[in-house]
Amino acid sequence: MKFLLQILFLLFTWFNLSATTAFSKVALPNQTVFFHKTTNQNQESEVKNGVSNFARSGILENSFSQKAVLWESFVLENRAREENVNVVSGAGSLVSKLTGIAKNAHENLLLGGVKFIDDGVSIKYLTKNGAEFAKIENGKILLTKADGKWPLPSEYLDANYISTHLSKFDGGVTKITSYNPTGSVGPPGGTFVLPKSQADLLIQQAGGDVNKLEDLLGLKRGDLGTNPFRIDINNPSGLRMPSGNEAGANEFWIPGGKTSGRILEATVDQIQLGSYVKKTVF
Amino acid sequence: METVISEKFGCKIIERNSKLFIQYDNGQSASWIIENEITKEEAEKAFISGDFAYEVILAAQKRNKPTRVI
Repeated sequence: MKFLLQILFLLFTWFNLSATTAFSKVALPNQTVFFHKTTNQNQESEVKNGVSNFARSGILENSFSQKAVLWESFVLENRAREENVNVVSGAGSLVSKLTGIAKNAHENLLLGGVKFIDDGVSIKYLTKNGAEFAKIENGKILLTKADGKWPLPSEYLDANYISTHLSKFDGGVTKITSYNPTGSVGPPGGTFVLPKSQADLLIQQAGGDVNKLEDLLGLKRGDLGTNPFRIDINNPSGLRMPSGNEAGANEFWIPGGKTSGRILEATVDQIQLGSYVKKTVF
Repeated sequence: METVISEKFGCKIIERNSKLFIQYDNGQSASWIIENEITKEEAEKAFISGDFAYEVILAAQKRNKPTRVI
């Protein structure tokens, strides 16, 4: 029995040593994190496919969404454990302290394969060329590019991440309006849209209650008026990853294709009369 | 008193109390109509094409936060 306990103790010690090697607990002043394409991308695709079927904002009672969030956290953690990835735990790591919009922005960029530097005070995000374009500081994500414009998504996000994201819009896109559109919909430069499947789910969950739909979409109550319309487009023109430079990108916009309320988003060209189907939401 | 000067490229240009405004969809997934005050020169530019109208909108947004119409 004593011998068995000794073996168990040795095994336990060995396991702990292995874990330390894979997930360093040494705090370092600066860490540059590089991501490489690995099998985790398959896991990410699985997560993304799950995420595409729901909006996490306000519908956490959905058990599937809870599972997907947990799974996504698992994948993010695994990415950080990969080869050539340095992780700072404890003092010196700001990533572990992020909450709210900043956390969501970081998750978007992490899943998109964006390189970042966490110095414990701020997290700086780099383009593929190594130029800083944004940072998280004091709980906010800030554009730091000198010209005041967000870089093109292709300059900092993995091509595979972008194509996977856009594939979630293959079943058509939807835009919801507080008004009854009669002509072109959206500003001339294009408009944000969400996947039709996600719009269907949110509308179904709202159960005929406009206020509940506003909550699910992360809007203020009253934003959609009393009789909102939905615009469905089966074959949108110019489907693309949002850049953040659009007229529709407000101060709450975060990069990576998911809103701060975790709704999937893309942009399309201005929606022309004849290319869409219009009906009231409820 | 409000007069519609033009309605083109998904934008409406109106005159109200001797001031010009461009009204447009805010461009978000869930949207409503907003407006920005513009100059006469910008109004003329916005008549020309959708691209120019968009430039006018972006420039107006840099000057002032748009206000909601509908």
